[in-house]
Amino acid sequence: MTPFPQLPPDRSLPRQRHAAARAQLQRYATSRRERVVQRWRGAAVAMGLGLGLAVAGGAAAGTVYLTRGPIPTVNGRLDVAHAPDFIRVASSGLAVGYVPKRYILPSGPGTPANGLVGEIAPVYGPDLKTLVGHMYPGIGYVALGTSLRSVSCTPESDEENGTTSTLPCPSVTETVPDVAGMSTPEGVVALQEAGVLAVVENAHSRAVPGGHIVRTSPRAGARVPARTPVVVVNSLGP
Amino acid sequence: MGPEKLTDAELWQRVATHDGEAFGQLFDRHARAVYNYCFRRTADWSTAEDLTSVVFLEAWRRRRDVRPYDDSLLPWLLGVANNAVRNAERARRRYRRLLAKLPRSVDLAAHDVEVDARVDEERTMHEILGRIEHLRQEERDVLALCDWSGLSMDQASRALGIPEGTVKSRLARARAQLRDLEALHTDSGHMVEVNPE
Repeated sequence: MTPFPQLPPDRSLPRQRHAAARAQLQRYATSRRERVVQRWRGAAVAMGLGLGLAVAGGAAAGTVYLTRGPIPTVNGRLDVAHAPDFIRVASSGLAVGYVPKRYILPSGPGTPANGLVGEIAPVYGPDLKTLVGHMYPGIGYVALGTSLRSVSCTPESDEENGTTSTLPCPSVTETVPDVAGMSTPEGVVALQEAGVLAVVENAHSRAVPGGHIVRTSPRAGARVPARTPVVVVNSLGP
Repeated sequence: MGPEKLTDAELWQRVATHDGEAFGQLFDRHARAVYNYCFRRTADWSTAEDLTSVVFLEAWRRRRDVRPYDDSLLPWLLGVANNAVRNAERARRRYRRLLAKLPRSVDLAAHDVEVDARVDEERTMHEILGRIEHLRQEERDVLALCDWSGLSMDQASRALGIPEGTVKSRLARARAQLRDLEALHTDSGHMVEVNPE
């Protein structure tokens, strides 16, 4: 019988993966937050201020009381400490429903509200139980049973490294840029800037050196709806 | 003069105010430990890469629950990693949009020797995981946290949210079973003596 094997030694994350993951985390923690804050703030303001908290649900003994309404503001800043359990949200100035505050509340006192970026928040009706739709990060309200692409959407700014780029809506058509031959991280950034979502897959290639892009699918020049996933074939060398 | 070295707790306070650079520094500091922990639980380097990102994204999502202990965030991060490993598929689905943006083992392509080494390590780790398969999940958790990742029993109890005494007894059981297992493997080549009456 073979002896008990030795535990493999520690390794570090591959360098490029480490750098890419770090950059993503930084963006996740900062710039995307700004977008969501703006959107929620807009929603709260659109619904009018000072309506205060309302009590929802019955008043029978043992009932859990839930509050609902907009996030109150103090001196123009969101007063998150007094936010209700369900935050009222609006789309094009019309109330659409209520989102549980855990999706949009901040981490601590003195910090601005943020929207738990990357998560799709459920939107409930006035009874706070019936699901009526979802809030999509970067897009906004999408009613239940509605196609994401059919939703009217206002392009928003994404502040990264001091520059402002525009994220197109799913209803907008984009052209896949030609990134073949570029280094994979560069190509991924180029695709993101073009408004499509890059999904990296690996393949061996004799013609293209490792770490560079062999081709994309759909190919360069194809017209696709914005935010469509585009497969980037990354070369692993021969 | 270099930048002052902040403790985990100080950095995490900055993270709570959306300081991306502070989050990056914490990632630099702990990514390796999380990565190796995830590998040892999954025996797959590429899954471990994804799960490392998942752990930090999850840490951000649950930032209000974060309690740096002894000024170190690592026990808490490994606790998150432990859950991420258990629910690897669900965790990856949750963050698939973000994970899709990360290049996949790109810089391995140029180093075939390293690729071979990694494949060997995955095979070895598979074997180790196979051999401890009969341990209870809870015992494997404390074994991986204490013996494989070097947490103290106190830190492991924080990571798992269980009393230190429980960690101690689980670890003792796991180690005893491993000793039996090793003894079994060592002895199995010998003849068993039977004393004829």
